[in-house]
Amino acid sequence: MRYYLAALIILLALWQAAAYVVNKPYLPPLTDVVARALSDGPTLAKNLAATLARVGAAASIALASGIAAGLAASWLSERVSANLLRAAVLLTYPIPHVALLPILLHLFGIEASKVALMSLIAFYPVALSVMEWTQRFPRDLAALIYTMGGGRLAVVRYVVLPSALPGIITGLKIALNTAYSVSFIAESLALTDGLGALIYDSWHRLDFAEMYAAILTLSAAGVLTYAAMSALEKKLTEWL
Amino acid sequence: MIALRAVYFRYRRGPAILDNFTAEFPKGITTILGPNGSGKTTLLKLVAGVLTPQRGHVEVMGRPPAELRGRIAYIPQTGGLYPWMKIRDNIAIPLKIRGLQPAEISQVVRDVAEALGISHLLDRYPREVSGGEQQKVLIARAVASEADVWLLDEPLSMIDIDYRRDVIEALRRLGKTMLVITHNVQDAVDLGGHIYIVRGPPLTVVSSLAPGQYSRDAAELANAVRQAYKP
Repeated sequence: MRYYLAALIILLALWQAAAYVVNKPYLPPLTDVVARALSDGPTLAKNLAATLARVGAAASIALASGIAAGLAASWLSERVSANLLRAAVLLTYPIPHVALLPILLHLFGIEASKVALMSLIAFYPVALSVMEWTQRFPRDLAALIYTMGGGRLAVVRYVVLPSALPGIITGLKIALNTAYSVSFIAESLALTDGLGALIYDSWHRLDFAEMYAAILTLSAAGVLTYAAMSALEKKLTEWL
Repeated sequence: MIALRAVYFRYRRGPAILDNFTAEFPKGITTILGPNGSGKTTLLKLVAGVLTPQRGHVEVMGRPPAELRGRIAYIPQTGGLYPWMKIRDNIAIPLKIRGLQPAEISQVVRDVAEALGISHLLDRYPREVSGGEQQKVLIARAVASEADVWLLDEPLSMIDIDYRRDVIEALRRLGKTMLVITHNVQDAVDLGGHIYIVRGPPLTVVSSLAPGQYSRDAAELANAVRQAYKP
């Protein structure tokens, strides 16, 4: 923990030093940014809440649909449909999904398309992770569930999902991280609310102190979410 | 009680492990003695319904194993515990599958663990207990399951000598039908049931001895075992 803290202090000190060396408006000193963040507190909080709501919604949709698709593309399904679904996921994974934003706008409208884009991009790490992990669950332990009188659902509950949990959590961490990154693109499209919108708007107004304050807030939210997920991962996989 | 008729089984790669194998194992305890790789574990898995024969039939109490799920307890030699569950939950699985209420499950788990002297392990994960303790947990799970037929793959191999006699006595007292694989002639004798000496693959019965038969003629038993283990 102390190494993380030390690294953070070094990075912030470097920023402060670089600001004085560069001495340009686009790189204000950290102290100015912090002062601005404190005075802009309510604005930042309101936009943070909007972004968190979108990230939460997108991650939930990505998690639910990613697990469902991952399981559907595994041994649980009939072989042809599982293989077809797996091929479809792998085929569409390399597509630059951000480029689909215009289509999503037409399909879902301005507000819903933001969450749709974030969900779509966050879906893949979860689905791919679940697909991979559900292929390598311990077959012997699954067979034992059958001898104990359990069916496929019991195998999923007691064997497939718990053994895939480390992979699912890794997928979720990547999904959340991706959702935060994509939130900037999604929110900057239609400047209603959210930290992405605030960053984009303040950038165009050349209000760099506010822009950095919004970036710092978004980064802090991302780091704290990642830390929370890591703590959850440690708790849920203590058997490893 | 347990019957295999003209059973053929081979894994995807390799030779036939059972080839036209026919045998009937009576009620009570039957011990199978034989060298490593002879097909004993495969035989047990076929009876458990974990594997399905490519030809022939397996019957337990006159029915195929698939129809007796929940009434057969299969205790593998290793790896039968779910590493992500605490020992308490490992013992409770068959009870959960049967749909028992949580309070009832807790009570059964506590009672069984106490009977086997593993109460202190209940809140640990499998990786935190020894091999011998894991075997006791597997036996505890089988007791909790109230299965009619027990299939045990070297259940005593990692249990301390001091405790081994207690486990054997406990197994005998249960009065269930059991198919027990062991390498230890003394364990087979102490279990006191029928003894089948096998070799393979393909699996063949070299000799079968009824209870009492081998206690009268220990030399015959020793000789049959030696023959089976001869390369």
